[in-house]
Amino acid sequence: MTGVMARVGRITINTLVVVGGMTTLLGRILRSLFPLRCDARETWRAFYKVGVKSFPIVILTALFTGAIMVIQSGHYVHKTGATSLLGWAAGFAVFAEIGPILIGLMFSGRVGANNTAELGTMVVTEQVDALRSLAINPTAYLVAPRFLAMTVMLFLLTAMGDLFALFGGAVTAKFMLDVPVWIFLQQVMDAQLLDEYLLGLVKGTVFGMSIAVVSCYYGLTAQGGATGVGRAVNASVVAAAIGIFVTDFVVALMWGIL
Amino acid sequence: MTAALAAWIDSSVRTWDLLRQTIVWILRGALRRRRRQVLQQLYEMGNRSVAFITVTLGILGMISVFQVLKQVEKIVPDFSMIGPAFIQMMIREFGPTIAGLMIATRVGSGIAAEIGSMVVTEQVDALRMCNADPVDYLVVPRFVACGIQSVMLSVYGVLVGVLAGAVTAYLFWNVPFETFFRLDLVQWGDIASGLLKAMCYGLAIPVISAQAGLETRGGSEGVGTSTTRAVVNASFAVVVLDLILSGFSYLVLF
Amino acid sequence: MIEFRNIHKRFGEKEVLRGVSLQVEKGQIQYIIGTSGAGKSVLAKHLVGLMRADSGQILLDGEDITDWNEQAFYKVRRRCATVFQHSTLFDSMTLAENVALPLRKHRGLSHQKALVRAMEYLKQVNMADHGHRFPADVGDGLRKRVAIARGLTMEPEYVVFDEPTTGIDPLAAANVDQLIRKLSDDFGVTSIVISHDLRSIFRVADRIAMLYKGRVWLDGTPDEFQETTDPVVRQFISGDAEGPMEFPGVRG
Repeated sequence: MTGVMARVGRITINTLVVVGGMTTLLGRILRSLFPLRCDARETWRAFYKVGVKSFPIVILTALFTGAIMVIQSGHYVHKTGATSLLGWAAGFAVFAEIGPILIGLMFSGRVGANNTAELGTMVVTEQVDALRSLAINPTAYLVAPRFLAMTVMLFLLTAMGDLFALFGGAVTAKFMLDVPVWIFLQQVMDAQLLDEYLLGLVKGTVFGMSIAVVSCYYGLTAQGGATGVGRAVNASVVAAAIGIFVTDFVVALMWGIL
Repeated sequence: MTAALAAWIDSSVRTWDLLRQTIVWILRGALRRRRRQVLQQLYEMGNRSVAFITVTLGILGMISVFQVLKQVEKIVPDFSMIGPAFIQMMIREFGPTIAGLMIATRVGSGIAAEIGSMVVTEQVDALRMCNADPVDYLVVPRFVACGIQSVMLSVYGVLVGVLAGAVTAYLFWNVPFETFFRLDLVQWGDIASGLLKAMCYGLAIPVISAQAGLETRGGSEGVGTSTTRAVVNASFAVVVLDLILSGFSYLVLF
Repeated sequence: MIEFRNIHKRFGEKEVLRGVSLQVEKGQIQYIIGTSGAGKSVLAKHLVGLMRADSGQILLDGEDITDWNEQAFYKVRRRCATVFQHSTLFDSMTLAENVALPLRKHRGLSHQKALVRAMEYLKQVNMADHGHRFPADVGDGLRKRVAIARGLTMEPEYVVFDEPTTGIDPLAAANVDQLIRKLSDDFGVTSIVISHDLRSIFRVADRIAMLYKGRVWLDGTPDEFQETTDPVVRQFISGDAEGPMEFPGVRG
């Protein structure tokens, strides 16, 4: 019995340490942003890298997500014959929940993991210490630009991705359910899903921030050479996934209350 | 651009080859020899992922039910069908797929990080020197274990998600548990579809991640790169497989 | 002037520094020598706040900087440059960009102007022709020179060199020694050099301090080191495998 309690206690303490560390990091990031003190060159580079890396795979994922949602909704539609609800059901699922989550998870893998790997390698090869020894603030130089780039990019990707998902859904509706593309799109418009779309955008932005903080945290605390970097990336993507779901919950709850 | 495409094609070909090699080793009786490693991997992938799956699918269950009920409440205040429909969706789609994505994330990056580190520290070369084939020794146990645990974790994930959803429905909208927990809409096709998806994800993820790990080049940067690649490719494979299998089961059923 | 007073530092079980006291006068080249794991790099990192002492004091020009926070240490680091053991250049930039970075950040220069100024520093270390190349493409000796150039961009009063001649060929090592000497003679820079390269030590040092068993075992001029009868010092200088020295085992 004490064994289990000890384990639970240890896990709790470890979790608190990690959460505490991330909160501290977030604080330092915000101090580098208000007033704006982060390195301009690094920020542009970050935007470019994040955008180029993530765009293709996120858009593809979004297309497929839309298609999958239509197929799944199609089951009910076929059973009840209520083809008129297809656009509403698929649109609602994509905008409010599945779109942001899948786009967020893909982004976390493509950009978050990569970020942790990069920062982790820099830490392990003492390049971060070198920055500090040159009296250059690593948070302002390395972390804040990435935070900005990832937050803005995921917002944009969610905004665009949702639309690509609709497109994927429309094409699938045509080929698998014989619902013409324009009818499907019309249904989505009629469903008045602006609220859900905006909710999705807020989620996307918050996901971007949490993925940025998590990935930078695990990168900066990497230790132990190549093995350490691998482990840091592993821990980072797991924590980022949990972060996505937890923030999803918080945003959904707050949105529901307001 | 073309160079990147060529590299991608090359990598994909080698991944399929790795799958072929793995299956060949299994047919040659690798399982009996690797029993200990399989058990070790079963524990590593299963038991150690339970908390992760609980948190993620639990939250997913809560939010999904919360958001749907909020929407439905405006249109028609009849909540009787929400439970059954939700359960069916979880079994057929969200349980296996979200669990699959979580496994791709945790197990996928873990395998690539582990094997990648071994490549960089020349342990994989050392294996070959001892006439032990890395595929037999490293990949087969993970392949089998992940296939099994993916199914187990998906089932567990469905249970957690449904339970979380039921609790949410009860707490916020007073939907009684008996109304929620009805399996009216669930058909054998749904269960088969869900299990098939889970198994396919579970077999694809370790092959893709192991391939990424084995292709590691360079020091710490190399391990970071292959771990990233494993997560991305494995997650994307889950999405693609989901689309194919969803379409397939739809066409088969109708 | 730099002063270390009774510095203690431990890593877990292992106590690496057990009361190190040392004074470094302005304009001098102070060598800190000892076996691997004796705590030389650890001590040097304390000066720029990359490590914090468990107890003891560090004074820079009379000011007690021991408990300063990270923000405050930025002031110290602008006056005291560090050249790391493995050069630690930034992989993602060219050599010239590496040198230009501190110029950009601390002198407010534009990217282009900073690159131009960087070339001047690269010329001082005979690396002007290689500015466009990446760290991974050049050898250790050349990287070391670029790291020194990068440190010099802040026109520091103090420079810490962590094993500047370790792992590079004798000609390159001689070049580095010459550079350290020139900095002191021409620019009055105070240098702390961590080394176990005996040739450089006796060629360049103004004073030598030997760390052994976590303390300063002997602190004196090169002549005093040559003439000492202390068996531990004699063993180190003669490079003898046999002798009274105990080796502390794996570095903590």
